[in-house]
Amino acid sequence: MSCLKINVRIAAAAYAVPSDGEDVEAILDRERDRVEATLAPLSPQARLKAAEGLGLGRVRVCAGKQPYDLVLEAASTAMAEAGITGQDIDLIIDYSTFPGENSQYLSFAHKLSADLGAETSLNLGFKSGGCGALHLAIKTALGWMSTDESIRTALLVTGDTAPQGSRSLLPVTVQGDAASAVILTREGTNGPLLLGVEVMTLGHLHDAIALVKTNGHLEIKVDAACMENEVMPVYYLNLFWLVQKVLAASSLSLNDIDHFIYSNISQRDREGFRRMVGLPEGRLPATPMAEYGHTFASDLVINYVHMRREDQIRPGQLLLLASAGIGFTWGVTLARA
Amino acid sequence: MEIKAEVRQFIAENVLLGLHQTKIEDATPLVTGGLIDSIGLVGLVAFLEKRFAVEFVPREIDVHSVDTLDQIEELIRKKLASRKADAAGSGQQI
Repeated sequence: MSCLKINVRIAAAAYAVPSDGEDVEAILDRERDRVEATLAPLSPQARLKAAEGLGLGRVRVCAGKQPYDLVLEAASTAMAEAGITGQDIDLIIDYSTFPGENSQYLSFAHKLSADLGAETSLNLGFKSGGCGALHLAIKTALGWMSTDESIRTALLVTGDTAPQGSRSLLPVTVQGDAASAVILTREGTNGPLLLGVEVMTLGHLHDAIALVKTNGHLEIKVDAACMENEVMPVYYLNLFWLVQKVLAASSLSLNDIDHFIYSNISQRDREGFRRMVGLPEGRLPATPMAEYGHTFASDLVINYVHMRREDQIRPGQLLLLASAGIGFTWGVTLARA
Repeated sequence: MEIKAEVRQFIAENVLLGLHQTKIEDATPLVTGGLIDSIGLVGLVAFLEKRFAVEFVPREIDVHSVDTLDQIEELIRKKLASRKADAAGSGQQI
């Protein structure tokens, strides 16, 4: 039973990554000056730990491909899985945080609408939430579906690529490029039923990770001191609150959850989440993070798709998706397979 | 109600990061001093909510509001006073 007032399912999900890759070690070496400047405000001990326990070996990088190419690929794959055409899509939401410095589109949603033949779709985009943006997109789609009878199928996409020279987000993570697509259907019969979504933003932490222009080029700036001293102390607390809130609304508890789907920021962050939800060691499922790196909001879709490919998700099981990202934004989505 | 004593005991028994011999003074920085990590804070806030029957909202808790026993006590006392005022305003008894 969903505590939402409408019946909406995750009908399909897909992702696309570029074929080119780069070793994380090589990236950190190339961006050494930037990394050192970012970490300078931290204590010597914290600086040493910044690159430890990442669990990220390589990342995929857009070389010949543009993020939009990946978005189109992911959307097409998801549509094929859902068995729909462009004409079936009523709403397209682009929630990319880093769509590429040279992106010429108003939003990927508008370009997709044209390329997929989604002639009557409502197209919108927002840039908010980073890794937590999937929940914002789901909640936005639910809002539209709740207030407009004609919106029955929504396509949610994100495509992100690190600005040149900004792949390292130490002391947090290292960014890889990827795109993903999720299709939500109202009154559908296939896919996990959405039970609840909770999101929160603390705006006073907005520049813990910020986009700035340096010499005419975008750069991601991490305020390491703010991350360590302001964000991290409440990072899991805020996530935990949202988890409790979304579970309470469905009269469920942590023990009821069959699968926790969490982002690929770093292995140490996943370990923190594991401790937060009280799972025994080794109980968070393996993800392709070592190969793809952290891909912002696509992480959750990548991990969900991998679990499905490995046939880990059974009908009736409860899924809890959680992530946090720039903004600073925390989000949790609950669904029953 | 000896708030600080109860919180001190909870922290010593449940939260301290392998530093059981550490003496927690009223002004000892718990979070900024590295005695409590972000997971420990989850447990501490859950304890405070349950033990003192108060409820926090996300924006109320940050590193500056629960960094010392003094601050924690002040926060709890404010919460309790606010609850009492709400109850008096609505004619209820607590």
